[in-house]
Amino acid sequence: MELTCPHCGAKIPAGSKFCPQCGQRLTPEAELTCPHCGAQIPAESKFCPQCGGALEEGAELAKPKPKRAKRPGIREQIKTKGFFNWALDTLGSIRLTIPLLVIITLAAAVGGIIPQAPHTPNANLLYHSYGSFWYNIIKFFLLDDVFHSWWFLALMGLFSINLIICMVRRLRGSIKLLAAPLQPLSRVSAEGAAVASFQGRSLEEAREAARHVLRKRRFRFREEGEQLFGERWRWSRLGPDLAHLGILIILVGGLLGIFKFSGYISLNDTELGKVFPPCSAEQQTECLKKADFGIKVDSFRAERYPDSMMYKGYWTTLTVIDNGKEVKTKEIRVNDPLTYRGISFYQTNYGDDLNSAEATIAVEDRKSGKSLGEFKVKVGERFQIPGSEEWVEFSHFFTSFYYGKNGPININTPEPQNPAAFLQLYQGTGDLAKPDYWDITFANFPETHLNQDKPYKFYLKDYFVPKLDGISYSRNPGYHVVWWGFVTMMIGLFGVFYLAPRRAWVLLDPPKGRALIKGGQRLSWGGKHELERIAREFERELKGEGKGKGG
Amino acid sequence: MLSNGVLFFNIAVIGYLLSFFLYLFSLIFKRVRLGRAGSIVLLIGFAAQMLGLLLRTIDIKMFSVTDTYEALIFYSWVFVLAYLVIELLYRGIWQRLRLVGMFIAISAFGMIAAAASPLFSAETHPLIPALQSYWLALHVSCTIVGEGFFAVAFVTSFLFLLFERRKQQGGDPPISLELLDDISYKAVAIGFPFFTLGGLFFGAIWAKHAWGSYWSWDPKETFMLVTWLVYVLYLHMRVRYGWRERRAAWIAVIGFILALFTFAGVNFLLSGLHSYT
Repeated sequence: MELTCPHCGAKIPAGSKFCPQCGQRLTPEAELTCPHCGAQIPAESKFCPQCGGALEEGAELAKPKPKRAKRPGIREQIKTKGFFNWALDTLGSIRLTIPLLVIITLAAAVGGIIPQAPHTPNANLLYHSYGSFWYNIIKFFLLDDVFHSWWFLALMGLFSINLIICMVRRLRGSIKLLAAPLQPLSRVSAEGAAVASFQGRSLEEAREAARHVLRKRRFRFREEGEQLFGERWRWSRLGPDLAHLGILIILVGGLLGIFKFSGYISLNDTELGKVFPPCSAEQQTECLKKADFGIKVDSFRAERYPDSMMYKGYWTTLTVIDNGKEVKTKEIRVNDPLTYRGISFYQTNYGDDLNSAEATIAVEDRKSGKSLGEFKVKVGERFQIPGSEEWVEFSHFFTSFYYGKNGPININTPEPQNPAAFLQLYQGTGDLAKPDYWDITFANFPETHLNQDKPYKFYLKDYFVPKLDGISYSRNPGYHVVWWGFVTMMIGLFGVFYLAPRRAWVLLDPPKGRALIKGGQRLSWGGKHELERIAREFERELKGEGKGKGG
Repeated sequence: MLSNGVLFFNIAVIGYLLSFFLYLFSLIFKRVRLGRAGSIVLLIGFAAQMLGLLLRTIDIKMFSVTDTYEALIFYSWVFVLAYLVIELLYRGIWQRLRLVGMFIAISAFGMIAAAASPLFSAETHPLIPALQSYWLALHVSCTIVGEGFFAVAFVTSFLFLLFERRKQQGGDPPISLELLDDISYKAVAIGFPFFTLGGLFFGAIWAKHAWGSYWSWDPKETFMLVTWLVYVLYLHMRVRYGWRERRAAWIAVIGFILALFTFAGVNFLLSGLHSYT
């Protein structure tokens, strides 16, 4: 349907609020008045966005209002509807949904860009990267933890209320619509209809052809007088209702996430067979939080791709110990956890237990080249260089040392690629808190030394690193709720977009020898196109061409 | 190792370029038949690319969406698929779609060409443990199927905005604006359920299986949600608020830019759980 702009006379699309030609605001001739609540609503609506009442097609309500009525003020609305109804209408209005969605979208975008807790860089770094002004803004609006901030949760709460009211109202409309059988059109006009001719054919032939076409297009139809009318995929009218219900279920599941917990246990291959019991009042580490059973790590292993520096996979065999009995054993791997009483155990990492590394460090006097001895130390231990006041701390070990963007890192490779020991040197006997200088020594490059001006050379002679296995565990009672929410939402979404409900009326007009094919209100371009296609098929059917193709 | 698939990707890239020129000449010289030839060549390129994807899938024993190169190839394939679906839906008036087809063909050509650039490696490589899951195939492929349709909506919305301006200046659009608007809506409507299924639902299930938490507010997840919300806005604005044409076209354009950012930008600019390369 096209309108004419009252200001400049241009042809403009229906539903426009402003003329695209002259920019003038339009007196919305296309606006309707809801027969249930009296609200002004866009033309061709199926449901009233204010009260959710269904607007029947072909009914008399499509009476254009001659003049744009101003939206009554809040006070006036409260007076006419009562406070409760006004609040309900406002909270359930699409006018609230749109800004809410926009704000939630923007908030999520901000949360996606600014690193969020617990991954937030420390306050200092944040201050330096954003400057004092933005730092204060971030801290004031809690932008480094948007998704747990009170205002975001309040927004989500408001959104849920909006969704619930909209959903209930829409559902009421849908049920009314589904309960009432489709009615024949009371007024017959050719406007917006596709026209097919059946001149020279009898009414009965035309009727049979129309039945054929509608059946082929999977319409369920009735006949009354000279009208055939029916619907296709009528149940998918519930699609949006299901999708919205799904979102609500997901939000409920998300809320149940407040009862979730998670933890992490790790051990190296010198500790196999270790049992992690449930945490007690005394024992808070190396135990399972909120569990009433224990878990034993029997063994773990890794496999590498042949001729590659990559792990193919890593596996851990776990045994559940409940009431002193071994009840379940499973070999877990990444993407395949073990679940017992709602708690799932995930293979999280595997690699070298660098903190438990042992190394033999040889010290040499730079000037004389004389060996000052070899020292076997663990990470974190110190030794004194004989005949001096200097202490050496073996502070870090690397199996595959790599100098990255943010300093030295260790790459997790199956075989050591570049073993290195990081050493810190301390002077004197008193306060050994602040290292004097540091040094690093590589097993593969023994003659690489950092400090040419210092009196000692260090060599990494020998080392031993156990393998580390890391397992995280968690329980989230909301997960299954979220899962069902998604299933509900997906049924709704595929229903509404893939099985779009359609209505069609075929009006046979014997005096003129023509059939008018009309569709529901608010037809899209494609909907109109389908009416046109029905008309052509109808004509083909009459000529007897359509008989061959299924019927 | 170089997969045999690459040969077929090369055939596809030539096909798409040829198809572009056929559409172009069809429009310039007003020969409808050339346009049909363009569609047929596009279909041949599409079939070749599908064969290539199939071979690569057999080679790596995992659906071929495991790195940026493969994702880009699959993306361009879905993009053409989405256009072919649209052409099927509008088969009665396919002649009027030639201009859209021309843009699709050259964009698909550009995407494969970009994938073949030295920025990405065409060699196959083994999968790290975290990616060894059939959820990888489901999660990535469904999301990209959705995005492929969004990409078509982007092209038609972009053309809409372009020609609407021309029409305002008194020119004559070479393609019906109403048709462009309708294709945009259809493409978003077809893509949206897949985008939701792959991006949010399958993503959540996989995250639960691999990381132990179905949602972690990781930057990629967050931007996935942002993109999703923009398309939710598109659908509601259109269906409930009567926003069509220009304003709807702008939302579709913004939505697709966000989808692209989620697909590629997040990994380069922000760090998080989804950093696999």
